[in-house]
Amino acid sequence: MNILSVKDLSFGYEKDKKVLKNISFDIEQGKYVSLIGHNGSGKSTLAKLIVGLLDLQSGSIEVFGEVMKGKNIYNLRQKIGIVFQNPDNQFIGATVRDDIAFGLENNCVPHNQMDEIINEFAGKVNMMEFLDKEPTRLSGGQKQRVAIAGVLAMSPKIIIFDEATAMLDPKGKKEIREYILKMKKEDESLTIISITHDIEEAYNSDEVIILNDGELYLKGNPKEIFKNETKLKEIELDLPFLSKLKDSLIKRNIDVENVKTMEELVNALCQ
Amino acid sequence: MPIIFDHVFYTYSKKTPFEQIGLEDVSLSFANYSFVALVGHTGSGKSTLVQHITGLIIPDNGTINVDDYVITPHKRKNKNIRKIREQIGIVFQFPEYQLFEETVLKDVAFGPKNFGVNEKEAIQRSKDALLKVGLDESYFNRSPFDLSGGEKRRVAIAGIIAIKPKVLILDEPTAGLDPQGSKNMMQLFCDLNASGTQIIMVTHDMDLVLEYADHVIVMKDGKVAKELSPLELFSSNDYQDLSLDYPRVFEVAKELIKKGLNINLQKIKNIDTLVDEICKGRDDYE
Amino acid sequence: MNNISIGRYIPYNSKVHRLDPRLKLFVMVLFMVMIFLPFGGSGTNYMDFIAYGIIAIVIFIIMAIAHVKLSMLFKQLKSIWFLVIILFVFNLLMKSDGKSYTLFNTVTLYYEKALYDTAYIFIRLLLMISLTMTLTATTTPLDLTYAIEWYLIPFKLIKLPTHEIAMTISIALRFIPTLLDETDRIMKAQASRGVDFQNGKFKEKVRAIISLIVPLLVSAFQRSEELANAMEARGYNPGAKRTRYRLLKWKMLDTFALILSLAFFGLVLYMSISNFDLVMQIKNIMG
Repeated sequence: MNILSVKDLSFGYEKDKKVLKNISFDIEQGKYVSLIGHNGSGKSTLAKLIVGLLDLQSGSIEVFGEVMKGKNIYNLRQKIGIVFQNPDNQFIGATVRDDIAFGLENNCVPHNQMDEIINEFAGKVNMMEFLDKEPTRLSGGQKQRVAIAGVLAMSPKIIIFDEATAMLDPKGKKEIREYILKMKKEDESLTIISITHDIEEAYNSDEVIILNDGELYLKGNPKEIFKNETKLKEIELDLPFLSKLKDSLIKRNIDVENVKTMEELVNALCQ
Repeated sequence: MPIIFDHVFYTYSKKTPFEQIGLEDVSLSFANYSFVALVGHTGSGKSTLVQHITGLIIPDNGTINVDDYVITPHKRKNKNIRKIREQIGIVFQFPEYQLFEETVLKDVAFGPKNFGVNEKEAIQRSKDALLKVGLDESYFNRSPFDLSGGEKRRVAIAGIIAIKPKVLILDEPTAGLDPQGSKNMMQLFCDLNASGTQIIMVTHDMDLVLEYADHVIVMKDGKVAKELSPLELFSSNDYQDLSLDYPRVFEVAKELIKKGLNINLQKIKNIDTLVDEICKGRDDYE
Repeated sequence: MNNISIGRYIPYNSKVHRLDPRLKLFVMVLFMVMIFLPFGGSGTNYMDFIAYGIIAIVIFIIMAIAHVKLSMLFKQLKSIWFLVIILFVFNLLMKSDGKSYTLFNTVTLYYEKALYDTAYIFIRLLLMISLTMTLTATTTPLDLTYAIEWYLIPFKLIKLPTHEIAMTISIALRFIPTLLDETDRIMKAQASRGVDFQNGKFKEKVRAIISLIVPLLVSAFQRSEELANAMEARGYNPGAKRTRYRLLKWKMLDTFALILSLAFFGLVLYMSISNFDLVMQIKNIMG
């Protein structure tokens, strides 16, 4: 089932400058989709349109078959959560506890149920011992974990990660990636759209959408897409480490064309 | 340039409930290396360390010698600290946030002018610096606030390069850039390094450390945990205890060695050199 | 930048921390009033100090219960001692009665009155600082905001958006440390570009400040935009109904503290109105 379909979407912040040009795609429920492309290719704008933070100019977005429009936006938004890039600028509450509560308050969750929900989702991202900490006492990775808990607590069907790990150190990046995978495992019907520069992450997802200069450049299974190296090089997109290594080896007439994993590559080289 | 730390101590928010160790008994020298990488986890003291070099943070205890200048714990004695700042440039994390002038050119010229370079010379230097970072004339008169994130960062870096420092300190220069942007940025620093600028780079990216650095300082809990070459670091037995990543090419190379391929680890810096070694190793094999 | 401790919440689980913020705010106002009451009528000047001494003892007891350290207070004093000296010099030159000392047979310095007046103002200042410090150290900014919101409830009648005001204040409070860090960062970045924030001519100083303010504003605007997006994405709709996570709960301890404070206030008020003179009373009793 298509949980999200985007049809003929175009958008520009200024009149004659389109940031997105006639974009159409569908996303199936339960998929892990990576959205990649250079900075300025329109990825974040697309995310903001999907969450309803920007008003549509032309084209349409459907969530669960319902068109996003007018008052419907508030209803549909409850089904979509988003985690942004900057950990500081999405921490609204004075403490971890209050920040997770923020979304619950907006959704009119009764007071007596809140603590239970907060504990449950803080537990899911291992932030129980930090519940009363202020954001300045937390690391970037911890703040993003809180953001994830805040989004999860609203039980969304789609979660968008808008470069959620870009400002974190390697430890934080790894942590967040693990939590994303964990929550995907716990709820297989959850759809994840990850805007990322991490080619390895894209390589391991169910589906990849590549935006270039506001246009949909490629979409499909990552294993297929990353095979099409010439097409990726045309827009100077980075390749997964394995592909880059293979590429260099092939240039030196070492036949590793059919190798699929690093292990196979090592074995092939040592034959 | 000789930069020598002698038993330096520093504590953040001293004598408050939020006290936190910044540096603890740090003694080291940056004298003989041209590209030094500073690694360690967030909060291990890397940024605190580099800020001591130009007196942005004054130590609680100990001294720092930079050339013939001595930074001491006594604030008043650190007059003319600007002399150091002219010779040692720092590019902070996300430096795009320091832009403020109406035009790109004016913003880049701000630094040199502050250090007493005359108008004409400052403009010339700024133009050179902008070209070096890959921004041509069409950018000179634009507002820095209209540029993209990556372009803003280049303007900010040009603003430091135009001061013509002998040492360039970089705090996570590629953080938040896309892969293509990072690559261009590193190439720029490499060129500067080749033309004689000493580089001290704070980074989490071990691929960069292996490819560019000739010396690594590992920080842990405000102390210097290790001082060695990248190869020594990555092949040391207790490297895993530091819970830092391995450079990817290094991992592959080690696997290959395990399987019996003859590879000289010392020569491996990036994919190209790895492939060179693999070819050599395979020739030996046959 | 990291050394600002006034107005900072110090987490601790003391009785004072647990009190209702509405009560704490009210009691602080009571104490402020007490500090500004006149004591002992005209003529006796020692009674002011005795009353202040009594108030100070009570405040220090509260501080002790709240685990607010006196050393923190002294740290704050460091920033006002300069003010106190200026005040003293000023008083020295302005006063014209009481004991005096003549300098070089030309200038007469009425040191007694000057000392008295300076001490008078200094003590008031000291008490006020102790009070605000105790309040902010034991009450999270958020709780304070809720207390203010509660006191603003009557204004809802004139359509004042009290909840939105409280939300704005709490977000502003939340971002103060973040913006302070940012200021520190930009100052260091500009210092690396040769800006001297301490010395320099007027013109250079203006430039230095511009080089700090512009980036700070640009970044603050960006933050506010991102924050607005984050809030909207999480379902915040100003004006719409929402539930509350933090509810203020009045407890027995609060009632007890309120009675105690009112009793003390009554006592001090009585001392003030009746021109109570402790020394005279003691003399009378001793016969």
